Amino acid sequence: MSLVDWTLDGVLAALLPLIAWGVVTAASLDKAIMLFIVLGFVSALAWARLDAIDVALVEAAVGSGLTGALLLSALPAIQPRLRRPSSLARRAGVGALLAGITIWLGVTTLRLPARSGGLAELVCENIEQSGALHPITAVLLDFRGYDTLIEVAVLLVASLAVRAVQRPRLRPGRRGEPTSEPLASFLNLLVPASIVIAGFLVWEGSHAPGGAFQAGSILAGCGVSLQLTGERPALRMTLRVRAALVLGLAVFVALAGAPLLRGHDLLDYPRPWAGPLVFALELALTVSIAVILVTFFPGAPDRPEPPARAADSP
Amino acid sequence: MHELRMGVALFLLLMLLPGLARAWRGPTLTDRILVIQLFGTCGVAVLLLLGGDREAAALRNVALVFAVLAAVTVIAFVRFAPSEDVR
Amino acid sequence: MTLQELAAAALLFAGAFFFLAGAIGLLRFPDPCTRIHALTKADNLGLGFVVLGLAVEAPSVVLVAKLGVIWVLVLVSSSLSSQLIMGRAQARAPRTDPRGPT
Repeated sequence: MSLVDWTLDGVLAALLPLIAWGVVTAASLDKAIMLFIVLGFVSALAWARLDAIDVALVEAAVGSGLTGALLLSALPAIQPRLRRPSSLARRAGVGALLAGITIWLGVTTLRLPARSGGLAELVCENIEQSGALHPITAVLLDFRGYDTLIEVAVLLVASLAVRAVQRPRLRPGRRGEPTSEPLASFLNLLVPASIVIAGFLVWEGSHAPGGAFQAGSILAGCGVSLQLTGERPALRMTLRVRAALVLGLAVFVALAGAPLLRGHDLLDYPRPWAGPLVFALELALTVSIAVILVTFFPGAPDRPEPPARAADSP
Repeated sequence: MHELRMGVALFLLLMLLPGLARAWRGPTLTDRILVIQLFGTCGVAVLLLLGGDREAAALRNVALVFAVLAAVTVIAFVRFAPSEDVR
Repeated sequence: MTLQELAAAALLFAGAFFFLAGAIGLLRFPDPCTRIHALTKADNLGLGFVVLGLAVEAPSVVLVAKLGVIWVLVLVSSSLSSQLIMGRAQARAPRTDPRGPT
């Protein structure tokens, strides 16, 4: 580590709390959201500097890309309710709660053993038993596949919950006014590029940083762009969409449960097939994660409904 | 060359400070979305510079993800950002 | 320093210069229209020169292609973003604005 490297890390370490301070003290919600997106960019850089490339990829895709768009899409629904500033007692209560959590986390961190090797060695020694060559993929889909299985289920439930509470005024949009020409040509480039890059990241995931979550969020970003620009109507719950939503979880459950029939343990993939199976699972998860993420977005805001077609919306 | 790349990356990180100042001052949301664009582009450049080292080559994929998702935020911004901030 | 390294260094410095120009412009210019003008210099030329500087040293053609793809993606999204942002700003600016629609 040379002086330049140290300074680089120092600047990153200084930027993060600076921006975070900006987020919490911003005068209005929209400013806070904008700064939060900036925070996402910088934390992706910080993860990259920490050699946590998988985390950096997720932060870049989910943290700064999709979360920003999601927060912005929630803005019209939340902002009208925020006219009145919350009471001092409430603010003090929330502040005390957060301070408590922070102190608790800090104390826990300090009490961790200073030099713990963690499980990294164990993973690397046994990686040949898993279906992947990249340790993180091996942990996510094989050694700790149980966690990932439940996470995917949580995502699916979250998506269903969003469908349940989505406001009726944010009905699925329609193909609306013709998209402007630059926008149309951009989308013509974005769609194939997203598909290729998502495929590339899934492929990378078997032996290097990458995988279903990152690839799924790129596809979702593309889908959200199509939907928000009105180029495509918002997702309706057709049979195909439903199938795509549950595909990842269904394949995961099938793969996890199949070994039980042969008297093995849950998630104990048959050895010679582990590689291809994990890859197929990643592909299925990519599709489902992408569709699930898209369902989080309300779609293009409704334009005034032409009276003749008012009846056909759900 | 490692030093040079890190030096340029550091310089680009410092370029985020004026951007941050603009984000803080605003005055309009338009200014702030411009800052987000600057951070995105700077982020791509920094990641590519860091990825110039052989052992950090996978960082180029992070840059790729930044690049392909760069417009999503702006598209959402144009759709949803409140309108009261005309100059 | 070989000629290759020298070229790479020069290109990286050129990139850094345009990022500097963009950042200063973003901070110092008086209104969003001029600020976006400054910003696009960082997007297009700044990143472009950095990519060129890295490409000079790249060990394989595939890598050069990948760097090129990243640059083109940023270029295309940044020009679209600029258009969308200014379109929004102008559509919402009051008609009586003395500067008028530019």
